[in-house]
Amino acid sequence: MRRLLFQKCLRAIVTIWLCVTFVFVILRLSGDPALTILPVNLVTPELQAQFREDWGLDDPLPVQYLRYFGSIFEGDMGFSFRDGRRATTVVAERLPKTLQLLLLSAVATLVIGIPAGVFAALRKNSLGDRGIMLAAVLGYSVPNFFLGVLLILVFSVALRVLPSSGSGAWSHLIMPVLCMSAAWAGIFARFTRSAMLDVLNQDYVRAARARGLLWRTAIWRHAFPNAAIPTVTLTGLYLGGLIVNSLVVESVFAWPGIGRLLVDSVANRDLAVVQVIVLLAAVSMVVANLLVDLAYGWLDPRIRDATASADR
Amino acid sequence: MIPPSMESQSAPLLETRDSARYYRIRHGLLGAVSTVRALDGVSIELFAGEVLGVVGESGCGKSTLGRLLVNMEAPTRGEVRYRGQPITGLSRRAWRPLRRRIQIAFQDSRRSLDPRVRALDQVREALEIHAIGTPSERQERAEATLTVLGLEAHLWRRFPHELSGGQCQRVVLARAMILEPEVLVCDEPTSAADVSVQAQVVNLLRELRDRTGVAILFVSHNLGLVKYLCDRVAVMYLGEVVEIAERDALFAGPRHPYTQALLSAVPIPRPRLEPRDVVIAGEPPSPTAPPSGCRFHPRCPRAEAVCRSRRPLLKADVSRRAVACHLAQADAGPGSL
Repeated sequence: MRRLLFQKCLRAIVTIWLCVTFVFVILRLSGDPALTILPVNLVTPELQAQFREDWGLDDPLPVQYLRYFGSIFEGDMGFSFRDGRRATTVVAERLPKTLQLLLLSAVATLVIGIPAGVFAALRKNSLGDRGIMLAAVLGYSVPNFFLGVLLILVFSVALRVLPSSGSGAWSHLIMPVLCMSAAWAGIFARFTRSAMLDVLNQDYVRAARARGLLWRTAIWRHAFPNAAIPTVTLTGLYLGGLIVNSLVVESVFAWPGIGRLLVDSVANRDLAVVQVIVLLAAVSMVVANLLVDLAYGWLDPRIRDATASADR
Repeated sequence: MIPPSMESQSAPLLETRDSARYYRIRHGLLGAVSTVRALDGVSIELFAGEVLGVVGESGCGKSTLGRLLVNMEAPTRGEVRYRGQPITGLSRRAWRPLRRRIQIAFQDSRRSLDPRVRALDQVREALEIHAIGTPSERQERAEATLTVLGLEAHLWRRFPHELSGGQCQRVVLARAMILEPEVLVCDEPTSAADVSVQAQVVNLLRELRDRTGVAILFVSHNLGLVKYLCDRVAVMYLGEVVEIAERDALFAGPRHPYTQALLSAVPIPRPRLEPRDVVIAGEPPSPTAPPSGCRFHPRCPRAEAVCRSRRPLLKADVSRRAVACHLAQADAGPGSL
């Protein structure tokens, strides 16, 4: 098990390194910050040259890369081109707002999606099942930016019950959370339903019933834990991608979080900030996947053994 | 071994009379609904301590019969009686204590074990379900039962995927036998196993019956195993029992043409010694539209006019040997009722 953990961690670190390197190269090839950061009316060739020299942008790319990489290990992620503060500070400032949004929508997604899927599976082909599946298909078919605009039109413009943008009050959270959760709640509902149906048709669930186990107990003891195994994979993918998921929604609802910061920073070629956010996204994806791998081993003895024997 | 003739005087443990089980299936989204007559007018009795084999082609309704008898499914018509008391349509509360007495083991033993639960825990759970004993007693009894079923102690903590097919079968049987049932329905327990495992399972079942006196309904399409294990044999065709007889009588002189065909289809190690007399052609007809009269007449080499128009009833003679065939009944003469 320890060896397995070590392997997984090593792979995670390599993934993060590749991700950071890729973004570093792409950003520097895609445009000159000196042209976008400096105010247009003040810009002179001398100023641009000065800017490039100040930030070390005139060095060859490999030199910049090594310098950047070295400083990461010292905990220095660079400075924002726009206001000269540490990039990490700029991101950290926005982090709580995004976390608030992500946490709430993750809870909403799982708490709505998984029970809805279980319920639909247990009452297969009933009216309730069909209703849930219809809602699920709608939920993930409608793009979240469109859903966002639609919500604003209905609840902010027409009904005037919810604020269309900004943050602070609880009412500000309702629409962004709804918008972020709709698609994934639908995906979870459908996925959980099919995983449950698959398990419910297994002989061991029928056998449990035949031995006299109550339907309810049979489901909790034998069906649900086995259906949870594939669902955990999906949860890992979902949690890892949450930050990315928030980009669009934060932009639509003017939510002052990391997603919007990233969009602004990319537009301004604020390289250090973009790199911090990308690193954060990569780490969250990798950590989520690592947790899924571990959860897998815990949930499914077959996988635990397969990996253990592969280790030997 | 308990001679079946001794049991024949007593009342049956489990019985059903003229039961039917229909399934309605719809073809496509808005298509016509048709009725599959998986079981149509089946009567069968299982006596204490006997091993009754149920044989027939796939789709003849033998598995449905098994599920009906353990009350996993309700008959469309008729009822199942356990010690004379109907178990069909019992309330959950009234049914639960009886459930212990009537157990079932499914076709594929590995698939009927939860992959996340260790062998010993699977067996112990049966006691937990019925709230029998204290936790430590349950543990002891589970260990004892596994020992009786020949699963060595070092395998108890293993998961199903770490056990062989035969070992899984032992766990499944232990799980059923720990409840001390009077009836054990084995639904093709050997169809998913290779030959050596089949032999193990059959020997195990025989040993269990001798040791505990459990009555076994052995559903199978393997005539060799049935001949080896069973005291009596019921032959099914297209949702009906066409012949029931004691094992030796049936294998020595099958009366129903279908039974004759079935028996002569068994591969013989030295084929030249015995000519295969009865060969039937074609597939069994669809159970959605069974033939008129005798259901076997389209494939029967001896079919006559009466077979096409009148459905033969299963009639027993004095030795409780029963056959549902106009011609066989006529052969046996008026003495056979």
